[in-house]
Amino acid sequence: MGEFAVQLQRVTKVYGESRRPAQAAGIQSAAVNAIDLSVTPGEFFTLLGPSGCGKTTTLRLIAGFEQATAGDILIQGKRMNDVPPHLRPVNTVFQNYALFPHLTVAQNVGFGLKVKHVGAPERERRVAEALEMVRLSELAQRKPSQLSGGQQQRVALARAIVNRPAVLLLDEPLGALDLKLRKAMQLELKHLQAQLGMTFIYVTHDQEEALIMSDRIAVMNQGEVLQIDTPANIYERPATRFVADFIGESNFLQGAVDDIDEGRVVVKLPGTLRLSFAPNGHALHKGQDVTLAIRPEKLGLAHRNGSETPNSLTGVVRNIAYLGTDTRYTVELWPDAALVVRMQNVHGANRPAFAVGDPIRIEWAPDDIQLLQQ
Amino acid sequence: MRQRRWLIVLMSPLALWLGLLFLAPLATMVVFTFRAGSFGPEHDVFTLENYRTFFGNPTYSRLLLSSAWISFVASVLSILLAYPVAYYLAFQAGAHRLTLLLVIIVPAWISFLLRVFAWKLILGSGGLLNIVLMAAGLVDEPAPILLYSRSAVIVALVYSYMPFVALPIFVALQRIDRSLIEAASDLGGTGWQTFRDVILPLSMPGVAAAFFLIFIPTLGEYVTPLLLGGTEGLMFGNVIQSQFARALNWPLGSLMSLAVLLFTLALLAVFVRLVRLEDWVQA
Amino acid sequence: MRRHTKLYNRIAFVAAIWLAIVLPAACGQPAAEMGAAPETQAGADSLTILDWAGYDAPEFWTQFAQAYPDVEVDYTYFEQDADALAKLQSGFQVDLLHPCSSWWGLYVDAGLVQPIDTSRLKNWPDVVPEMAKLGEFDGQQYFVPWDWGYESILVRTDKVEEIPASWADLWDPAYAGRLSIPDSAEVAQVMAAVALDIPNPWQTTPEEDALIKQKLLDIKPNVLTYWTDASELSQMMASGDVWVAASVWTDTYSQLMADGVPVEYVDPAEGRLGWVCGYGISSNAQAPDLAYAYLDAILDPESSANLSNQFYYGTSNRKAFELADPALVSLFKLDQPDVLQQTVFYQTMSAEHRQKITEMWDEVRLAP
Repeated sequence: MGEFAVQLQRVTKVYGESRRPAQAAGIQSAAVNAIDLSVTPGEFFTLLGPSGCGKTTTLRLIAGFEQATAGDILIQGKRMNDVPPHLRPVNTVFQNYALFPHLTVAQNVGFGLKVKHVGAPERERRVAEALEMVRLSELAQRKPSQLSGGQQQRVALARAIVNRPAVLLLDEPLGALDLKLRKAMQLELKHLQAQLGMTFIYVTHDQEEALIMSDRIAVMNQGEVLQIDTPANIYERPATRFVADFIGESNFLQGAVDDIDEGRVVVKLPGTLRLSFAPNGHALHKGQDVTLAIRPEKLGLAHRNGSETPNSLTGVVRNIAYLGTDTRYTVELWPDAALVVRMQNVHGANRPAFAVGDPIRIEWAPDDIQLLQQ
Repeated sequence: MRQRRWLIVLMSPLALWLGLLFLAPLATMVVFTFRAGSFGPEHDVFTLENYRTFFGNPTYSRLLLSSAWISFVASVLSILLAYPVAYYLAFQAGAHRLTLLLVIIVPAWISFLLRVFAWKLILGSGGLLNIVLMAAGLVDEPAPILLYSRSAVIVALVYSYMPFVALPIFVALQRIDRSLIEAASDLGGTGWQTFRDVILPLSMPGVAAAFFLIFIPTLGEYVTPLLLGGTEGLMFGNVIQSQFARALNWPLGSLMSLAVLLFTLALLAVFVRLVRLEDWVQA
Repeated sequence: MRRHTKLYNRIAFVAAIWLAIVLPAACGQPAAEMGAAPETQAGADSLTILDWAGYDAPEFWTQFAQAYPDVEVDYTYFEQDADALAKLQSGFQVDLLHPCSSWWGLYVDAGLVQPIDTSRLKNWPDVVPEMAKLGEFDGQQYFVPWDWGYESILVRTDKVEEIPASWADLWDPAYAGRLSIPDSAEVAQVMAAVALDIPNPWQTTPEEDALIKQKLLDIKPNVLTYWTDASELSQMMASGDVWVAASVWTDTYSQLMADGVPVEYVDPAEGRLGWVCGYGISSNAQAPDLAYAYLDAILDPESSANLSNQFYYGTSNRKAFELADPALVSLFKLDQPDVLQQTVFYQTMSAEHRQKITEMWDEVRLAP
């Protein structure tokens, strides 16, 4: 059981002049640029990124609707580059559902079984089962035009899973739904995936959705994969500035490498502060500019009392915003550098502990600040 | 109010134009079917004699049915020929689509009569068909092959109406959402299965439009059968024409024209009833 | 409810307007009540003639042009006799009209033409009596015959083994699939009647009608196709599709000869058919005096001869024969004195007869 469900090895897709080698075409014009991915069986794997980052192209490469310019696409250990879509053991849930308008719901769902010449009795049974799973059994004889958006989406889902594919590909399936329905469907999908034990590869640009549903997330930007990790690690230990910024909110501080000593990197910040980090795998040299990141909720505020602690900075409160669950403080450290601090309103006080203009100290736990790859 | 809007529509210039140029002549024709003669004193006498002549003589209804058969065969053949062309245009032509579209349409710009005459020459004794067959050794002596027969009429009709048949099918194929074809393929459908189960059904509105686009005009055709039909390829339009042009029997001619009109409407009604086109329309 | 009554009133109002538009069109007289304005002639400055295309050539009426240089001659053209009759029936105003003999009776019966005082035509005594007789009704001359021609059998001499010698020969199975006859009830019926030796094809008994119909059904296996106009026939004979054609005019013959196609214009045993067309003065003529002058001008031997030389048609003035092209004279056998008596000229037919033969021809054509 050692093989991956899906594996992409240095896969590149360049549009247009597909005959030219990727290098000659220019890296900038690649929709997907030499990416590596491995998806374990039974996993809920998400491709997350802004529009145009290449996530949908990657999905279409796996499905077979696009041909890779370079690299290998393996499904269940077999190379699928030259295999057409109808022969791949994957099924897709399309963004616009792509339901056949001239067929009923039941006929739509049974389409994949019919073209593989599954006999009518078994076909009917499996269609009924799939419809049961998405709770649409009573709408089996309707036509797609008679269904709501949410119902259509579930038909598309049933139509895909009834074929028991090795991998289910979902291309932003919840994008057209309203907020409440979307939230409900997120849980339903997660539930369904766990119930079926099927490998899901999910594409979305909604980072909250990705965090909720995924076992692992691949963050993509401009055709490259920036980080693949569990939601927690993506959030807590972002690898690059982009990841830190795209997921959640983050503060950034610029510093310079002061010393590399016994495997630890010392970064000097403006002022006197020096912080030491474990090496993050990147080759760094003395004097190099680096970026540090820390999340607003990881910061704490305290009145200045003169004593300097190793993991703290001093600053002045410039802005206070009351957000109901927390309060948001903007603290200026030095000119052009401010940190955002979020503190939960635990005690129900509607009067913040600090006022604008107060000199305060910002503190944090040493593990909560990250040294980013550039 | 809704009623007011309807009345405004009915009184609009468009409606008046339609009434003057379409309904009024139609009404004139209907009234003519009851007249005894085309001119003079007979013109004012009203009678059912024309109806007796038309329905009493089985020749006319037989001719109408055989004309409908010719039109039907021509329509089916032209759809079978035009569909692959439209398919290629919609799915394979890519950048050359516009050029190929022009290639299909340009022959329609040439005078209809010239194109029919061209068939007379191609199929005639000195024509292309004879040259090819004699070169192949299949015939010894030039003779008009296929010409002056029903088949010649059908061939010429299919050829003349091809552009008008190919276009609606092309448009319908183009309108098919490409993601549906991807979905069919994704679900395991081969090229043929995708075509049979998705593309073909969804192109049916275009095929239906194309069918009537050739069937209705050809039902009233008289030039093509006159030039190419010989003695057996006569169509209903020829008899209507001779009533008006030679026999000066406008009442009977009007009745025959009315008969064709009602026949066509009846066929359309049956078709619309059988095939509920809204089922094929995409959301 | 009140609201519905208002709606019905509105609908009735609009329906009334529509009926007011549609009904008069439907029930009104064709053209006349719709106000087809007749062409008003100011005094006698213009002459309106309803004629076939090509007959307006000035060399046909030079004397008229010389005598009346300021008079404007307006031609209105028609392509088939039925069209001309329809036009006049609907009130169109002309001075002169030029229909062909089988239709003359209909014009007289409908009162569309006035009697012609032949003493006013100085060329009248030279008109061939047989033709003049055709235009006489109830003792009065209503039509002046002018142009005439043969309709006979035309043969590709290089294609057939035996040239047909009579109309009856057209039924010979040797010509199967190589014969073409005109798509005309009038011509086909006369052709069959002549082949059956029926004395008067324009007044037939029911028994004769049945024989004619059967005869026409019998010729169908020989017929490749019907021809509708002369140029189509020329093309078919030149290409070799058709070997024998019936009721062909002389101008087709001369054209094919000029193109170098080997053809012969047969003189059948029963006699060639002949068409005659002539001019009548309309009942609503506004310039009758000019009409008489025009008629005299065209009957002039030289004018008539011009027509012959141009179209290869005959003319009714005997003196014109002497001025015509000798080749034409021999073709028309004008030097033989009784040739015109042997020719079967189309006589006038009644509306009922025309109706009857049209129905018969339709049935023949439509028979499987």
